[in-house]
Amino acid sequence: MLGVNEDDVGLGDAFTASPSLTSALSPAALVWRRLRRDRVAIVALVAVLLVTVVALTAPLLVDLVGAPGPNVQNSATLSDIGLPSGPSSSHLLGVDELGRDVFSRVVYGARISLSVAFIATGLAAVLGTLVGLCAGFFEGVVDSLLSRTMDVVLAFPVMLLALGMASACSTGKGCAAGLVKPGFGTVVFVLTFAGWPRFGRLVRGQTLSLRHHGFVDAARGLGSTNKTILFTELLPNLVGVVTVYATLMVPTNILFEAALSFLGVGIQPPNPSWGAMIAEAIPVFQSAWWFLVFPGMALIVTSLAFNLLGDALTDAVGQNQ
Amino acid sequence: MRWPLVLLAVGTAAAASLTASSSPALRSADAALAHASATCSHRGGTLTVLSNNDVDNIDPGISWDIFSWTYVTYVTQRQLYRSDPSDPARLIPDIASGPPAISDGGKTITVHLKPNVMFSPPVNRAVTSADVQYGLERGFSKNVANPYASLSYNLVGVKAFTDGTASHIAGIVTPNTTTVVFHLTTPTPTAFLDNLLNPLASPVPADYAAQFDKQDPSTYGQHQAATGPYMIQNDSSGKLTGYDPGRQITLVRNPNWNASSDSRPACVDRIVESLGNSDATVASQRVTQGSGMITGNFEPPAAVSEAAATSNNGRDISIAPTTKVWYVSLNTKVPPLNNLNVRKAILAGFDRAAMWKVAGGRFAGQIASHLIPPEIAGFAQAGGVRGPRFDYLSSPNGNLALARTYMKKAGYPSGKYTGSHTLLMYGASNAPETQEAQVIKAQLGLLGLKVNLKIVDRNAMYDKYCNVVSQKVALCAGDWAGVDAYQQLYSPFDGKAIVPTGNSNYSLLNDPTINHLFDVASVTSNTKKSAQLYGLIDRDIMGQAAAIPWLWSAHVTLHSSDVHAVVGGLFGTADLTATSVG
Repeated sequence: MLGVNEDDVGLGDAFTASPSLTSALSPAALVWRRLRRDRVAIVALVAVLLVTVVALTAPLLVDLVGAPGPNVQNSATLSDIGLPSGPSSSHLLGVDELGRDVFSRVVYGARISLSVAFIATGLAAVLGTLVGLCAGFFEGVVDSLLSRTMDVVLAFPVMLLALGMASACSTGKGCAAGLVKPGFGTVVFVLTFAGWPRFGRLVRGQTLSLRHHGFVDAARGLGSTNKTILFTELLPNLVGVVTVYATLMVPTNILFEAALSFLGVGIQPPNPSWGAMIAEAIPVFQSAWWFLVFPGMALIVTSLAFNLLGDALTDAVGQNQ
Repeated sequence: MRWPLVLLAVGTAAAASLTASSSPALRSADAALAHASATCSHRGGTLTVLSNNDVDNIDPGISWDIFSWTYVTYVTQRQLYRSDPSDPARLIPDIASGPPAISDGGKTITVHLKPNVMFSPPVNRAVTSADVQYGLERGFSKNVANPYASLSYNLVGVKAFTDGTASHIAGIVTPNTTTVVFHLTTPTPTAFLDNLLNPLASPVPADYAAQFDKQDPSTYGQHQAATGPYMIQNDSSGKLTGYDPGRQITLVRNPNWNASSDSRPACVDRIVESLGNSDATVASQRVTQGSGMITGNFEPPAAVSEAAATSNNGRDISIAPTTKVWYVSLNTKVPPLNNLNVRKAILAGFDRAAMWKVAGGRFAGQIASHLIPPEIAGFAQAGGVRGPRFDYLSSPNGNLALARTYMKKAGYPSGKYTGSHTLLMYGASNAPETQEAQVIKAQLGLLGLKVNLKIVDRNAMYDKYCNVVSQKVALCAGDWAGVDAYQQLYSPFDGKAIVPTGNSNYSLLNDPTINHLFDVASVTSNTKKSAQLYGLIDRDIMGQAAAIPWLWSAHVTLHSSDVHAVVGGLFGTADLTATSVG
């Protein structure tokens, strides 16, 4: 049950909280109320929403500022030795080494980064939650088996797996009948593979704690099946903590995707990716700083915003328990 | 494409070592002056060469890569003849005591050897004709299996030797220890002499090497003896101690090298080849900011080259033309590229100037309009700088309107491709080739052509995909460097050169007229007529729109301010035997 204290309702010592007022607020409303008072959280939330809107409306935004598409090359913007030109009225954030508009690529890069991060995090959350629920609920042999599996996967060098897969599956039609090849699919697969045991462990721990609560015994006493208990009694109580953890996983996955793309085994050219843009910018940094700075800033701001939001959510949800 | 398997021939190539402030045109007078004065500004010291990858093979009888040749083999091994550094069009005797005697209608070549060219320790004796014979023969053996031996040396009796029915190649005769006679199957003495400059033609002491050549693969490379002014550091048994694969090759002076038998000045005492410098920017800056260093087998980034050109009066940078040509092969058997008008449309619309800029602009070389580079005979006959007078080659910046006209002729009324085929293309994973591949994809996209671009390791791009006909690669972007027009054009464009694997004719061009012209040109000894024929072949290949040539390459060498670099030759690389430090 969610607890309430005086501070949460914004009242000082001169007053006491009205039980009827606080008990009328839903858990989500209480979380929001706490978040609202945290200025850092609000700024982070606004930043996250902004990046999400940018990602969703990338084509509109690029058209609005009159920038060319992310893959439109213009050699006229390069010097006679191929060095890109900097920020100007026609290219707000300058161009890259192929004369492509950096603003456009940063904006479209947000799509790639958020898509990869959200999809991978979502898949990892679903898979990890299912596994964790089963491990924590059934205990015994099932728990041992699933927990050891999670331990093995957690010990796996994920970066090496990504590099190996990208290398092995970059030839011919890729791996698994073409399903796995360098690019979006492989990145999502690797991030999901790396992420699900983290959710699994978290959910397992929470489930172990919750399964001995009275409501579970009551449900069992009423004749509920294990499936019903798992998905209608336990799962709703885990949504909050899974959501918060997911919020913290998103920036990790954004950075990991950038790292894979930086190494050339993530998103494949010419698709814009912040990590790949940073990698391409390094050789010309001294003469084309914008090409490194703007995608770098986008990466930092996005990751920081998600991290701060996740921290704030952790605090806000944690106070309920 | 790679540097070809056969290299070094007489051509009209001229060595030119240029400063960045000069026009990137041939200046053979400057080159001659540069080399004439390359008599060591200072003797002694250590020269460090920074390169981005290892040699393809340490055995000179096996390696085919130009880096291996110019930065290792030609520093440690001598051949019968070599290119005059100040005028690569001219051959000068190296181990040979004089020019060859050609007889029997061009099918017999007699060469006499200098008596005082010595092998390094532990062999410690003079080179004999038997060593020249063994050096060539081992290339045909199973355990050595030189990749270009059968293409380069049309010697009598090769088949019997490789079949095992003869103990020697009958076409190599050694009447005495200082004479070797070559008998050819066809009267092509010029081409044969050209190929005697290849590292396979380096003499190898049979009494020492045979024990290593018995192993499969041969381990002679790890125990090789040198005849040049330098040798790879070794121990008393001859085992190399100066080769750390992927990391470093250490060359020290060959104590048995006889300076009176060699025109190489050999200025420094030691050469350290630092390998694995994968970041070109970092490596280039180390060179320009350090001391005693020079760049090796990679092209410095344009920004670093520009900085070097504008500092220290441009003394730390040399730009030399090469015989390397960059082009994109169009597979004439893959739809829709099997339609000549589609290929012409691609050439018409292709912005070669954009590719040139991405490659580094004036530091990269000149925008190409056909396949024979300026340094090779046949260039002028193929159309010179402007190229053959085809409308689809007239605009280096591309002419989309003309391109769309050709697409309409190809059966696409909208002027853009509307079919369902996707073109498979492989690009190399190193910069700027990755960027260049993206330019190609975007350029073809303007005509509605869909390209499935896969970025892979450079060697894999060739070995697994472009060189394998069954992979049906539609577009292969790379480079090719021959030292004469035959080597520049034959393997990539003669129909007879098409093989299922190890293929270099990526266009799968098999035009009877062009094939016949190759047959005629290859046995033409008159240099003027030969140039005309190859110029015609180049024009005909462009007439078939089999490739998009876009760069006649230059090579940029950066060096520390205390290095007096001598740069030039057919590949525009540093001559480590004439470069000094201090």
